[in-house]
Amino acid sequence: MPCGIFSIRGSVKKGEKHMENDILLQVTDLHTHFFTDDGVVKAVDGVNFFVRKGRTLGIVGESGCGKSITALSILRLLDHPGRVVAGEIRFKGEELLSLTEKEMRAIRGCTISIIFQDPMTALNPVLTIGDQLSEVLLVHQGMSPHKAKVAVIDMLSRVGVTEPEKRFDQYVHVLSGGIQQRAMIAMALLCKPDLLLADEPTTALDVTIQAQILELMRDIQNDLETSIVFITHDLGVIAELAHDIVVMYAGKIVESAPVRELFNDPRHPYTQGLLKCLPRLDAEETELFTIRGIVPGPFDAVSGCPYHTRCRYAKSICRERIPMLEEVAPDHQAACWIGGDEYGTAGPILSTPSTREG
Amino acid sequence: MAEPLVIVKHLKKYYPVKAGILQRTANWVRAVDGISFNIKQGETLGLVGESGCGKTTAGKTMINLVRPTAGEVLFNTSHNCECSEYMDIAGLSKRQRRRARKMVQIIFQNPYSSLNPRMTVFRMMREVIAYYKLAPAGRPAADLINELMATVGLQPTDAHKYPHEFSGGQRQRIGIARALLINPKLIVCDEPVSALDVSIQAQIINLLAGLKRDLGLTYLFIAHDLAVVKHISDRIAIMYLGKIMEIAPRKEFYTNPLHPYTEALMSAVPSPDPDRKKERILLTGEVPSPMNIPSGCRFHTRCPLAADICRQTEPELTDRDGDHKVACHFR
Repeated sequence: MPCGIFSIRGSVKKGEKHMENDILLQVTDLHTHFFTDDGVVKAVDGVNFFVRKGRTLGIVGESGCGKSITALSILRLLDHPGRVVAGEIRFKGEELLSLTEKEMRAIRGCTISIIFQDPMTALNPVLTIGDQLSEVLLVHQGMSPHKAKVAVIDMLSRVGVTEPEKRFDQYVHVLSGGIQQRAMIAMALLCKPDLLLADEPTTALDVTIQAQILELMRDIQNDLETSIVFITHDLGVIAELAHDIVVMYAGKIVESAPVRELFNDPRHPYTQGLLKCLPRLDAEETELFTIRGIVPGPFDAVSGCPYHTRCRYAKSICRERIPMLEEVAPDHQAACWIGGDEYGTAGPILSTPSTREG
Repeated sequence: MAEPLVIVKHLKKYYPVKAGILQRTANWVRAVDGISFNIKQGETLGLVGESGCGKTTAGKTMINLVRPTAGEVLFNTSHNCECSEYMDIAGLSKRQRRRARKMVQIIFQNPYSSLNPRMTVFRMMREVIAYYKLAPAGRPAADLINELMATVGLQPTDAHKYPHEFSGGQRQRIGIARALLINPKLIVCDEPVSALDVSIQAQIINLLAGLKRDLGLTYLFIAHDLAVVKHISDRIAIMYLGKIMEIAPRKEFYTNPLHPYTEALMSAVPSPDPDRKKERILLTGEVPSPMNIPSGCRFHTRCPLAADICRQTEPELTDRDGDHKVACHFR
């Protein structure tokens, strides 16, 4: 910001402040553990990230990496034996973890709402769509049932539910998967939340319906300036929607970068593996790249880097010491001992010129 | 020239919808509504479509798990498919089924629900061996099982575990081992990777491709993901509401898709490249109910090209270039 009165240092500071105001949700050193009879499971093990206003953060990883638990921790929806044991979750400057249950309830579904993976099990089967959607407005905004009905029908039609008046009185099981998911999105948007957590919202859907839902999420963001945390295991989906991405593995963030940076120059071997093993329409080879082995189980104690058991580049240091998340490029962090130098110089693995066309 | 391994002719499967006190048949769900195709020995045919298009029902009729309403599934029983001795699998009675299942096996979509949780892998497989009398005299069943476990990339000691002790990918490997046990000619793979994580999905696809190469297997590979199908199939068929809309060899199919539905399906596949701006053909609405199939071309309600003729007459699946068949008035 060019301004004569401020020294260069001062203007930098001002820039930083602007950045801070831009941040809607800041998660710092989050630890969520499950205290089971068989031992403690560290589902989320020291996670840091932030979500900017009106932007989408993608959280990527395989099942069991702690993505969903991170989302549930933010909303404090964890049930026994799970508990957030350490960390801070600041939302609009407020520390969510220190709120009372009553204060938290005023936030859930109102300023922060969530879309679950499977609408069939997340929606209530014994209430009509209208009843469960209106409830949001009755509770959070004290609307009259009549007004709520008008608002619900309006929201249903906005998210592309056909014949919203008819759907209002229908039960979940008569609707198709795509309509169910739209109804759940409508429910999440009724109070115009500042933050929308989407936990694999398209995984259970057909590709054609998935494309419709992604388009819808983009429109919502443009219209309402909602920030979105989009959780998925599908890098193809995330490439279309996210501005920033964090990659999780075994409860930790292993890489974090803006979307273009991450796809053009992935530094962590896990991210590279995830990208390479994806079957692609624009690729000719028939043999797919594979990441050997599987995600370590909750009770498997892996020393050092949690990924070393599957990593092609693992050295002795990887087995001994846990790598920290370090800056490898501006805005780009990776947690890897090899640091990306040895294989990073080979250049971006995906974006060859031929795949950019079309 | 070698005869095809399987010839499917005008296959139909209708399910009755009963209503009223007398449980009269009020309507029919036309799950599979007259499909025909061939599969050659050693070939993989990818069968793709959205949920509810009848692809799984079609797969199940191939192995006689579902009796078709009409049509035939002719299986070449001669060696190496050199001459044509065909047997209609779909028409076999319950007793004769055993013959069919010696030739065709199936791998199910969900590895969590398709393995008996109360049986160890060993018992599960030994049952099959005993039923089909697969172990020759003097050769214990254990040898056969150990060999198969190694083929699918598991440890022989794993055979004595229960299904819950395995991860999803390992369970799917067990499903594959079980299907391979009786040395079938054709394996119906019913969405074998859609319940798995991406990294595990790649492992299973490579395993299936390797087995096909090494053992000369033939697959009917059912999936909803065109990118997955591309990696394993030699030919691809697209199904919509119980009918085949397009069928073509892989290269032709992916470079020159003709049916508007195929184009829409392809453009809906998300691409892991944030710089790639695609002209997306967004299909509006959802698949109509198979109880109420639209008149004329069944895709006309969602088709960007739809015209009057599409509402009135149903297009036939006709030859274009070479092996490429399409059911569309305009392409």
